[in-house]
Amino acid sequence: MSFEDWRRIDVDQYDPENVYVEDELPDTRPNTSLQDIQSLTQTLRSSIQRMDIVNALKTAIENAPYGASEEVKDAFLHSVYEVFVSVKLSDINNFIGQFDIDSIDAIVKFVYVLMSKEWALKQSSTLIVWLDRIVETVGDGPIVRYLSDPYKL
Amino acid sequence: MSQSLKPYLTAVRHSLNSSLCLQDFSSQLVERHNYPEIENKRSPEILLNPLHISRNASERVLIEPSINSVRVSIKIKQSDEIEEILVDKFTRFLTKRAENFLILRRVPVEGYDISFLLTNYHQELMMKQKLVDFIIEFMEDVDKEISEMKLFLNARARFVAESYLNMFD
Amino acid sequence: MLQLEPQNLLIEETFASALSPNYEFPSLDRILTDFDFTTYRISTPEDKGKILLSIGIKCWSDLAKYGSLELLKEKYGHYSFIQILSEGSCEPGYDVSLYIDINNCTLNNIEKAELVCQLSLLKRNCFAAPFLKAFKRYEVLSRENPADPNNIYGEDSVAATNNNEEVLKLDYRGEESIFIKPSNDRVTVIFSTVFNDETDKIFSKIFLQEFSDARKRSIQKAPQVINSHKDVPLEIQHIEKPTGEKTYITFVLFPRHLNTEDAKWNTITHIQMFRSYFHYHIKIVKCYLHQRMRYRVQSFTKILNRAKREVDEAELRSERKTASGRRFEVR
Repeated sequence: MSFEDWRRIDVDQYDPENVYVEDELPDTRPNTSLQDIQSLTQTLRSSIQRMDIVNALKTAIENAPYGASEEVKDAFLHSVYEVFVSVKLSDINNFIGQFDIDSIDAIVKFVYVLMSKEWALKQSSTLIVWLDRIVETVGDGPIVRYLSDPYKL
Repeated sequence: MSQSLKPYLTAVRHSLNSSLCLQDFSSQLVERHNYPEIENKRSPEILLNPLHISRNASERVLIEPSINSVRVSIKIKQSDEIEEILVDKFTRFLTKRAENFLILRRVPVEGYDISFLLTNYHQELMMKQKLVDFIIEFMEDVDKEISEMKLFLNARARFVAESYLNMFD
Repeated sequence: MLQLEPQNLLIEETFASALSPNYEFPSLDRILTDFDFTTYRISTPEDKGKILLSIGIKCWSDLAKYGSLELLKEKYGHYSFIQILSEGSCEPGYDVSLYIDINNCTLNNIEKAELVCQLSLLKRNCFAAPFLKAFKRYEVLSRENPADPNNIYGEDSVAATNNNEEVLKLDYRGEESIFIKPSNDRVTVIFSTVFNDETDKIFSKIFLQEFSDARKRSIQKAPQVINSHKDVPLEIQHIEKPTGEKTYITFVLFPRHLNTEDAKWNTITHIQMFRSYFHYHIKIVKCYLHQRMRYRVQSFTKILNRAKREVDEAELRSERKTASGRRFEVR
């Protein structure tokens, strides 16, 4: 950089307050590996076969790999997607009643994230029905909480 | 209304309702500036998680909320060449008249056909519920309009062709 | 207006008034235009009673080759007061001129009306020659080699029997051409057309599809219409290079369109208008859709305006109160 260019120097980069630091979050699993997700997928699949959707989703929520690499997150979303689309539309209402409000928040989050994925669009109408039923039962709360949710997938 | 359209529209309605909670917010970066934070995206702490709502691969909505503005982008169904042209014409027609629409963004977000930018000023000027109503109604009417135009086009073409060929009799 | 008229309205009016009994003989100098880059000039160069009608057509050289001038002589030559000027002697910048001496016109009213009609159809008459030539050739061919009488529409017969038959070609708009090919059981007319606008191209596909389907559906008496985008039809592959941008529309004219004199002229009149008709209706549809969108945009604006808070200044002022609940006084 020549001397005449001094006006072009970005002085803001030297401002210590200018850097945005993400909050330190407890309960993240940055070290989740693909193997972990594979075994999780197995567990979920066996739950799906037993039509035990509630437990499948609960397991998924507990083991969600927040803070892990994109690859791991994507593998996780694929297996959660399987759970969502294996449900008959008419059964969704029954299942929703069996979750506590925190789990519902997580489910709403999964649904929104899945709808942003190109590969999930084929069956996204099922995901929309999930969202629709949840809002019908518990209101807009989960959506509002998702908006500012720091735990991202 | 078709089976899957209703949940789609209600999902959009609730998502909009939740994200339209805006306040005046001066820029943190430039003194005495105040602008839709979602458009410059330079302060991650005041942006919220984007909401994707997809009915299928060709119909989806993206809602990007921030502290003082929400950007709503809509992808309209286009199943063939003709619909593509009609949608393109229609959205171009709308965006050219963006000043009448206040909330219309002149250029759609990439990957979508039309975008709205709602700021806290719009929310002061207009009622939130009615704004949401407008967007929902817009989504419904655009689909209807496109399919009607397509039907008209086919009917007209048939009429024109038949009346020309009839003259050879 | 659904149909385009084959005659030129302005010529019709000019001559209708010129041939009427109480005509005042003004001096004329009018330049008129018609479809396919056709220009007319109506003027009175020497005498107010003598009207010069000139026509310029882009593809005149093609038309002259196929005998347009002879046809015009046949059409207008028997009027003693009309001189047909062509080549060197016609008005510069135009291809053919008719010099009409109104003063010496001795026709009765019915004949006058007929003349006005023929004059206004000047363009069609120019374009008719190659079609008539092809129709004559068809008659010769069909006598030499009669078509199967049981096959009324000639749908499955093989047209390959006379591949060496001359194809008549008119470059009527520079890039776009008309091809006419006679055969023993039909005459094939092929239009090539170019769309500068992508939208027009796609709209044209819908229209052409309907042209092709119309015959199958209801109008069995009409010519068969085949359209192809990009690919050059078999009949003209030896004279037309594929460019990938042209659309080809093939009309197959069957004996029923060619058997009487009236049928022939009716066919010519309509088929030479095809391109104009086709493009004209694409424009109309675009225009209509535009109007419709305008209306729709208005209704959207209304819905949006309904969302606005109705703030009445006076009301607001009366509502404004201090913390203790007292109203502001307006002085």
